Amino acid sequence: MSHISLYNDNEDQKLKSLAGTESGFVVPDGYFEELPISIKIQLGEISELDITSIEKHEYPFSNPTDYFEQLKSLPNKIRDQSRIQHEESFEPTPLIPTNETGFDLPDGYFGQARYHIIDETSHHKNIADKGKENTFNVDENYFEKSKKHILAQTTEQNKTTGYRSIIRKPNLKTLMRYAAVITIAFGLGYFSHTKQNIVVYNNNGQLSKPVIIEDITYEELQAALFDEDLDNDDLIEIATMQTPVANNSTNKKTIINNTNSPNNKKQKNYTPSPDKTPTQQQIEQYILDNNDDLNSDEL
Amino acid sequence: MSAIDDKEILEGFRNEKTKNRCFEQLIDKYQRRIYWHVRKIVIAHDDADDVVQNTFIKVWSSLDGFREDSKLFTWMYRIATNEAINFLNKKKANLYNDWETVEYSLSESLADDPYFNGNDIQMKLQQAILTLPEKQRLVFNMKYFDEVKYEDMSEILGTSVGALKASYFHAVKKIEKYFGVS
Repeated sequence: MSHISLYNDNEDQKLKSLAGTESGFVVPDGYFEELPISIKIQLGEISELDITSIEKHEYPFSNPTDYFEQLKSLPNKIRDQSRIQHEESFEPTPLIPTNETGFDLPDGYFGQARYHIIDETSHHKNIADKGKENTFNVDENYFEKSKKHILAQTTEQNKTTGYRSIIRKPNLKTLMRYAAVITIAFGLGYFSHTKQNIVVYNNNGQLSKPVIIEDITYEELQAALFDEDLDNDDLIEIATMQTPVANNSTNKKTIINNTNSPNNKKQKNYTPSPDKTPTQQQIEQYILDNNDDLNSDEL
Repeated sequence: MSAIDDKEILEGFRNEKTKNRCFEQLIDKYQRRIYWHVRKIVIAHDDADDVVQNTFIKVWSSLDGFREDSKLFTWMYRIATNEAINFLNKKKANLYNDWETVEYSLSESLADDPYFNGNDIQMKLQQAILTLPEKQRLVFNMKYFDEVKYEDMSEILGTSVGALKASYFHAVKKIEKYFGVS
């Protein structure tokens, strides 16, 4: 069969009626599909008898419906097995290579970690929100009062130097610890009123910071004294830094035992050994030395 | 009173004529933050009051020498933190045998504190926080409640950001454990 035989007179007539192609030539429908087979036949590779089988082999499922019909006809077991094998053969690409750092992670770690983080965050948030709201409280006018105290002290510091530089208003607990001392001091006539600068230090010679006792009456001190159960051996030594009314000595001192302890009602006055009595200069130096620990590296 | 810029405060403080007024503005601006920071460390209001006053007096004494290497806020936080820790250390030295008993005492005092008005969960959270080691407690409070940035916290506490994150992580884990969260 030659390719010329593909054309007969009728088709030749038909070709002449076609027009409008770019090159001016046209080919019959299906020409290019048939051409490879024609060439192979001419070359002797396949016989004309095989043409039907070749077409079936090349286009086994030209109609998709045939494929599904065949699939349906397969036994269920084979179909299921096919699906399983397909799923097992699927290996997703890992998002983060597990061998980059030399550490392996359990399967699904990152997915689980995300949920853990979300859980913890929400839990954490709940606690924080509850804990933040009004957990602690202060009096409404506390901050204004506190500011006045601070400004009073800094103003005082601005005017003076030395031990007065760190005067402060003690809180009630501190007052309680000083109460016994101050009460006795009243009794001995060291103070004419409560607004005094005093230095309190214990029996080891350790100085506390100077304090201003202000706006507190003797009765209030007494009340605080009765509320406080000081330790039986709590000896406190005081030294007035301003001239007391009853005594003109600058560093008048006394050591008292806690007279209000239920275990010891005795009062004892005595003069400490001279080596434990700091001078005015020592007191001021001590205070200055202890007034700046801003560079503490304890943290 | 509108918040004044830190730079204006510092400039005003260095001028004798405006020193007092600027310091008052500084107190207005930072008093509350410093107080609540200290309060969460020392727990008791009276103690916090003392520590805050000492903090501001030290700020007053040292502000002239502030070199502005850090933010004013972080510098003041550092002073307040040191004051609060020193206060607890003195308390420990004077009244208690070891740090744990101080923490226990603070925890116990919560229930009697007239200025504590939190509910049960808030009380439990505070008690859980008081079981933390000192450093973790500081970091947790600053991050959890005050929402201080790690970078600022690093300046305040003089610790690396990485170490702070680790401290916070461990603190959260311990608190969750305290709450029985598996």
